[in-house]
Amino acid sequence: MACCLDRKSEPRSIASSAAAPTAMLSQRPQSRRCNGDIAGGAAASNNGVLPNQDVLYEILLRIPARLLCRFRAVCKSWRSLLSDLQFAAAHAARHRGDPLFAVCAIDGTYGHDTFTEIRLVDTSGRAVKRVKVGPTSRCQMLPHLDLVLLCGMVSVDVGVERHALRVLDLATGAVSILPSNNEDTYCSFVLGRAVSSTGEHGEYKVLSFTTALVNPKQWPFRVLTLDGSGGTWRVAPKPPVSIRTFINGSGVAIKGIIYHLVDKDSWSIAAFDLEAEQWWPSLVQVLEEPMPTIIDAAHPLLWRRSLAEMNERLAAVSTTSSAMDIWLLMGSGEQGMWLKQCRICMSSIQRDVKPLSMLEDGRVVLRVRTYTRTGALWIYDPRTKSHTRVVVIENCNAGAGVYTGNLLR
Amino acid sequence: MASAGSGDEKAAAAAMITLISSDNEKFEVTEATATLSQTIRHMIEDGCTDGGVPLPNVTSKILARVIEYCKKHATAAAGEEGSSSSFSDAAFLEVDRAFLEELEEFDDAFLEVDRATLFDLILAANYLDIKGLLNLTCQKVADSVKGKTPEQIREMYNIVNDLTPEEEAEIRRETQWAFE
Repeated sequence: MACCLDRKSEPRSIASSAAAPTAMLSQRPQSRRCNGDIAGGAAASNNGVLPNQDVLYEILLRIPARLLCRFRAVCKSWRSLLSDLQFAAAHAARHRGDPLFAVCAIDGTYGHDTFTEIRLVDTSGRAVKRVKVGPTSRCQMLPHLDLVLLCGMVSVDVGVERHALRVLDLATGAVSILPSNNEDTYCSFVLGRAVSSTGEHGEYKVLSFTTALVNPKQWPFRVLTLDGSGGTWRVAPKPPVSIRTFINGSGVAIKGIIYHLVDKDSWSIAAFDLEAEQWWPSLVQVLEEPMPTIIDAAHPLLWRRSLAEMNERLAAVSTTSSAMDIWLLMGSGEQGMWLKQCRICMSSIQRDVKPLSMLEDGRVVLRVRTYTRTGALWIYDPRTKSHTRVVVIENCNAGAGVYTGNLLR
Repeated sequence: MASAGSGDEKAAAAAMITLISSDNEKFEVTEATATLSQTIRHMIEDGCTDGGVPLPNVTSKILARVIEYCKKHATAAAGEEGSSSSFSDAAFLEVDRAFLEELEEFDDAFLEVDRATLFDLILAANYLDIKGLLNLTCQKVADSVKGKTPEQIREMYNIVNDLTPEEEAEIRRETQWAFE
């Protein structure tokens, strides 16, 4: 298979094989032709050898990403096709209906020799990739597109730990340490990727918020660009209103914008543009208040608002002890419309629940946490109000998220 | 074989298309069967099919199989259109279900071919732009390589490993997780 390969030029070029007397298929006509002869070339049998790059392309598109990474070691032409960005994009588009979830598992013994393992699992619960990220404890994991932000304690010496922010690239397994912003332990972080006004993907950035309850104004918002050069934290502008919900993981990054609930008592949302590094001057309002229709009189305090990312949209999640209502922001920016997506009956779940993704058939993938550190991914079907457990997560405190990156990069 | 049919024959079979294989064998098919191929559909729309459609990349053996597939699936497509207005009719649904099962059985049996024929079918499906057939045949190959190692792939498809040992070691190091 010493084939030349040129996937970048259109129309598809058909490579011929030098190794075997294979069929010389000429180009599929891109423009309509009127001479009756669709294409020239002689027919020949292929002796069971993969006939050409077009066929190979079509076949490989139908194979899961994990296997394709292994098949890079077959030969040079497979390596170049399987490392090609256009192929990776076409593959991702074809497999969009099979989301992967990043979960955090701690193996080894507690106390010492603890290491964190990030696993990618599919909707059947099968681990498609495992990456060990070294000795860590109290690790928080925030996946966004191709990267995962890891906040936690890292052993620097025997018995000595310090707080560190790290970034993991799940495709390559590479982990890099980010510079400290001095108040790490009192901060929560959101990882996002800037999007330019023309819709192009820009740089990954981390926005840090203080979670300190005393004098939060003294500690501003900070931004760090992940450009591989280390970089330094810059002070970000002040939000249009003072933000009073300093809970870890309360911000969500979606398509270049970080959304953050302003307080616990309303659906006002502040939005930070990662490209411009500016807050939107006005708050995003949830126009039609997604108030729960069932308020549990016995536990009124159990009602809470939260934000989540679902299928690359901002989700307003309203939770009581009996039901969770999910609203998605359709459209973009301040003109967006909130549409109610579904209701999850919590009576059948009774635990700390976070929605992660909606599958094409309307089922919802949930991260469910028990009161201990363990949890699970569940798939909930709103029509039957039933759920199936996909996978147990040993370290649920670390969080779980949808992996929307590309393993073939 | 002789040239395409005379005017009389054409009048008698207005909706028939003649496909000519690389070894010059002629196949008469209905337009509904032929238009499963996007390539031929475009030619029909442009009125370019008089005198037959030469397919110099497809042998008669493969073309016969492709036509067999198209005939079966063209009937299926016609059945879907016909039943869509009366989908609530349980009897129709029952018929549809039986037909879909039959179609699946047909597809399974259709794929019972040797590897060389399978690849020829893929080439023909790609060339004639028949989405269903391309998907069916490619998926069959894709399923057969699942769980295989690079060595097994090379052996299965007579692929010469032209990577240097260093390059191969590097790929294995970079994607070690995929080999576990």
